Formats: sequence, C-alpha cells, structure tokens
Amino acid sequence: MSDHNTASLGVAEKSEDFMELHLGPQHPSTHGVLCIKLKLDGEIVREAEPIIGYLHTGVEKECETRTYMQVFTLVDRLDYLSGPAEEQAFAGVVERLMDIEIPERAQTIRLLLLELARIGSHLLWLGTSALELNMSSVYMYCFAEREKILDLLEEYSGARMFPSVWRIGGLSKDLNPSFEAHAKAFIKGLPRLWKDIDNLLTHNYVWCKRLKDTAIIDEKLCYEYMCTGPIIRAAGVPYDIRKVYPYLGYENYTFDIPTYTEGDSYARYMVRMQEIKESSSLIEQALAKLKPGPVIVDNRKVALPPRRELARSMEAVIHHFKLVSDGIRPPVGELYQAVESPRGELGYFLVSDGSNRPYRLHVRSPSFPHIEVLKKASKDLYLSDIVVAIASVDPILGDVDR
Amino acid sequence: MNTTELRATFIEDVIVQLNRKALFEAKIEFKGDTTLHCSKEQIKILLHALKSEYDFAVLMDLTAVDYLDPPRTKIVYSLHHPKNFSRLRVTCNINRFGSIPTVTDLWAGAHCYEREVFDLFGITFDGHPKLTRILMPDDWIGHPLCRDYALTEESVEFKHGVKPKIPSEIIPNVGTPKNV
Amino acid sequence: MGISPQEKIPFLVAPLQHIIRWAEKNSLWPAQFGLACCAIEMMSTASARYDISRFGMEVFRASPRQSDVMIVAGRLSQKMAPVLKTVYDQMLEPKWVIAMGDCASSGGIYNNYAIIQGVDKIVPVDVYIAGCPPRPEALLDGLILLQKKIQQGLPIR
Repeated sequence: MSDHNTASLGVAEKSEDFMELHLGPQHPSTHGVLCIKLKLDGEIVREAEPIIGYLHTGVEKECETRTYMQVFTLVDRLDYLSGPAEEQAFAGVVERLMDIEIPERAQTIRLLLLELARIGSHLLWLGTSALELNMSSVYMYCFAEREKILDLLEEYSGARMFPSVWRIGGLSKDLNPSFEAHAKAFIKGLPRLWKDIDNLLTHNYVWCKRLKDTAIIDEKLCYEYMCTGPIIRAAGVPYDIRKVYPYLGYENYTFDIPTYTEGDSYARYMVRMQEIKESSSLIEQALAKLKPGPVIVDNRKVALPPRRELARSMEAVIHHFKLVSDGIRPPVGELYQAVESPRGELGYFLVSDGSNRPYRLHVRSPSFPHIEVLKKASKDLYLSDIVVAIASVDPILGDVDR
Repeated sequence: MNTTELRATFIEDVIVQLNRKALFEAKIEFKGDTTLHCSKEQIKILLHALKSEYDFAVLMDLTAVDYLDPPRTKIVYSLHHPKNFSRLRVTCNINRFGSIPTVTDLWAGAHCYEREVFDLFGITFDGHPKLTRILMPDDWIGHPLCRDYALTEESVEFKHGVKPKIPSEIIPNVGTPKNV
Repeated sequence: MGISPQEKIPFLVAPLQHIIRWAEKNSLWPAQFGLACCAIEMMSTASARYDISRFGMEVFRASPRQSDVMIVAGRLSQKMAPVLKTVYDQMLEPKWVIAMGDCASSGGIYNNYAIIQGVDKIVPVDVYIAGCPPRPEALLDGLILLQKKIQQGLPIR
C-alpha cells in the first residue's frame, strides 16, 4: 500500500520496544511450514527474519543411498506443485553426464508435461493467493481448472501429482491414445478461465490497492540475493533458462518472456498470468510437433528393454536384471544443470564417483534465496502486507528445506 | 560465432588473465562446464576479482562435498554472469570441520547458504554475522550430511522379537566411495 | 427411536448420546495442519470437484482452539514435532486425529534422521489414510470412517 509513509509512522520510541511475534509455522497463509519472526512497531513490521527447517526431509543424504532410477521418486516430492520440473532437472543432469541423446518424441512429451505442470502450479498459486486476500471464488475456479490438468496426468501415468514417468534416456511409457484429444480440449477451454480471472482481479480495486507497491524487489536486490524466475522478470530482466540455456528443444519453439519493470507484487502477478498464456501456446505447438517414434533411447545399458522381448531373448532378461538390480554407472565427474521451474532456476549439482549411486546430489532450489530476500523486501510493511509479500514470492517449503 | 562459443571465449579470456595473477591452482573442463580449483588463501581474492573486475555478479549456488579418503571438504561456488550468461564454478578444498572466509560481504544472499553448509557439514565461515543452524533443530548434535554420519534408519517393528536388517546394512558400498 | 402415532405432530425420540454424536460427526471442523504434498490434495478435496463441505467440513479453522479434528497431512520432521504436540494440546475435547498419507502414518518413503516415522509416535491417531498422496476420494473415505467411529461412540481421549 503506497499512500502511507510507514517509515515515519509508528508508536515505539526505541527499538527495544518492538513487539516480537512469530508468524507460523502452523499458519493458514504462509504457503507451507514457514515461520517468520517479526519485530512489530504497532502494526508496522520493522524486522522480519524467516525461520525454516520445519520440513527438512534429508533428501540429499537419502539420494546417496539409492540407485539412479530410484532417485526419481525421491526428488519428485521436493517441489510438490510441479513434480515434472524436478524429474526433468535430475534426468537432464544425468543424461548430460552420460552424453545420452533422447529421442525427439520423448523430448516433445517431456516439454508438454513440463508446461502442463507450469500452468497447474501458477493456477494453484493464484488460487491460494486470492484465498489469502479473501477472494475464495477465484480459489474455486483455479482449482477446478487444475483438476483437468491432474486428470490428464492421471490418464497418462496413473498418478495425479507425481507422474514418475521420467527415466534416464526418455520416458517409461508412450502417451495414451486419448491424451492429445483431451489436451487439445483443455487448451481450448483455458482462455475462458483466463478471461474470467482477468476480469475479476486485474483491475479490481482491492487487488490493485493491496498488491501495487508492496514488497518491491528491484534488479540490484535480485542480483545480490540470486532471485530468479518471475521475481527477476518482474524487475525488468528477461532472464529465462528456456531461452538462455535451452534444453528439450525449446530453441525450436516461439514464445515470449513477459517482463515488467516495477518489481512489486502486482508485476509478479502479471508475469505469472502472462506465463500461463505462453505455456498454453507452447503446449499447442508441442501437440502439433508430435511425431510417431520411440520414447526411450535404444541403448540396453541405460534403458530397460521392452517387455515383449523378455519372453524371447535371454540377453534382454540379463539386461533387465542388471539395470533393475544394479542400475547405470555414469562416468566420474561433477556437473550442474538447471531448468526453469515455475518458481525460478532449479539446478542440480551431481557428483558421481563411477558407482551406481550418486556420490552427492545437491538441489539448488529457487525458493531458498527467495525466502531470504523477504528480509529486505518486507521492511516497513504493514502486518497484513506480509501475507501478500510471501504469497507473491511463491515459496514452496519442500524445496527450501529439502 | 554462436552464443555458446562467445561464452566459451569470454571464460577463456577471464582464465588467462587470472592465470597471469596466479589466482587459482587448476582448471578443469568437463562436458562444457569450467571449474577453477584454488587454495584457501586464494579463494576470497579470486571471488572478489571475479565479482568486481569480471562482473560475475550473481552467486547461484554455494554448497559442499565431503570426502573421507583423503579426508577433506570441498566448497563449491557457482558463479553466473548476468550480461552474457556465462557460468563458472570455483572449488576449494579445506579440512573437514575447518573454516573458510565468508562471502556475505560480496553477496548478501550467501547468508542462508553458508548457514546451511555449517548446519549440514560443520564448516565455520569466519566473519559470518550469525552462524547458527538453519535446517536442523537448534540443539541437534552432529552434522548430518558428513560422509560418516549414519542415515539413522529405523527398522520395521515385527512381532515375536524379530529384528530385520535396515536397508543400509543390505545395500553394498554405501559410504565407501571409490575413484573420487 | 419411536414416532408417537396418537399425536398430530410426530415426535422423534432417541437417546441423547445418539443425537449428540450425530451432531458431532456432521459438523467436524478440521484444524489446518497441512505440511507437504498431502496438503495440496487436502486443498483439492476442499475445492469444487471433491466437495468436502457436503460432509460439513469446509470450515478449515486456523486456530486449533476452534476445531475438532486435526488432519496431519504431510511428512513430520524433527523440528516440527514439538509444534504438532503443542497444537494438539491446544485443541479442546472431544478431538480426533487423522493421519493422512504414508509419511504421516509411518514415515512413508523416507527412513532417515530427519523424518519421524509416523505421527502416532507423538499424538494418538484415529484414522490412517494410505497413499502418496492419497486421492481426494481416499481422504473422504477416511473422513466417513471417522464419522462412523464417532457415531458408534468409541472411546474419546
């Protein structure tokens, strides 16, 4: 809210009079188990210190005891709103380490699933952010549309949120016959929802008043605090990993990077709304590019043989046994690979020692520094604007705490 | 020249200039990623030079890798150039549970990353404003991601006093790495 | 229950306990304790398609002092365990606990230093719901099971 000069308002005479209040960890509006220790001067926040660690799962240590195929299910559940992004990041780093080129159909299907996950994640963000500002009909609309995306994923892989179809070398199964028709129907129906939400929110007096000039994160703060994703795009820098370090054939698709310059919560909202539109155009292009072909690489040392061969060929059985019990053995080395998750740059740092288990897997999650930047961005905000600030940064605590 | 070659030439120029000042010990190029390895005395000067002279303004990642044979901890800094998008990794070997100068005066966002490395590996960062645990509870003993810290699994409860093995006892070679 | 045939206005006669339990089971107010991925499925259950409000439970109270049932949805880490106990202690009798998902029931796919192997090591649990994450229909099934348990009047802690 911009019409109050909160730096000069306030009741306390010295900083020892500030009231200390913990927001969370069990709180309906902190987007997960985040605790923020606030020092309040009346209703104005003078200091905000985030306390994390309430969802620490030990995934990085657990991955050191699993084979490469087993790691997929563990890392899936880190960024639990867009499981496909985590799976793609891990598959990308291992495939780059082993110099595996995946077939074109697999690339197109992976891109499709990634963009569907991006739309789903942004819709959920929009629904919960609006719910925190007491606009619950937007919540219902967004979730109803998100259910259609979960239906698509469930038809394809059997699970709603975590498809787990990524394998080193491609995907474990091909698209089911009705996927393309249902996806086209979903994309056809999405603009109507977008228009509804646009009419409800974009020029809504309450929404604009609460979001404009709240929690400004400008370009300098972004570089100091390594913010990426919609935050840096709302600060004026068109940095998108899909354009800068392309993967999965993104260089062959036409899409824009929405950029705004104000850096406040409203700009981040506009960036995400435009990204939903860009993702749906990407899905249309990907559906048009689908060509018949294999979905997994043919190398028997890396990918499981198709099931019908197991009845006829002894070598296929031996390969299957070796791959399932032992797994693949990448060369010795360390690599870092990043993908664009709906929150920003999601990077995996893999150290391999030549054995069948990763020696060290570090997840560079996008939300970890974003929570840190709240310290600076929430200076002199009203208490009710802290909720808006956290919502606009879109943290996922599973990713932060790992 | 396309963008990948432009970035590669930029990195080579930077490395040549740094080499003249003897600011790093070794350079490793592996599958398109360039890593500079330096010693503990050179690390702060090298990072300061990379940030102020060569404009690697963003520290994307700060993490550590623990080794038992020979015992050392390797701190890994991933740097990012926001104008031409080239990437460089800087690594440094220090003693296990040792100390290294902090980079919070160069990049303010490294505050939480250094706390995480302290919490999970036991490395002290000299000059850090508030080095406390961040992910584990405040009174936790031990640093979980060290290589000799057990995974601490709980075996399933069975009737009649049957005690099955926990997975770590069945999986071979967990905790005994080779070739690194 | 009996209907008196002589009167023009029929009466419904029932033991008081049955009526109290019927009222309790149909107006359970859950306390929000969504931790991780299962919380997203809990939110889906509360939204338009799998409507939880037809069972009387759309009011997810933020404050534990105003709620009856605590749905622990997600993995419980070492740092969060005292918080769970505090929130459970703040709820008023009668109260019930539903452990939603594999991680809350038994630790799930994580068996390491950081995750408590099952919420029932800290609070007493009435209904366990399996799944990773459980489908919204599975959560509704668990809630209906809890409702049956309440109607039968099983011991309340």
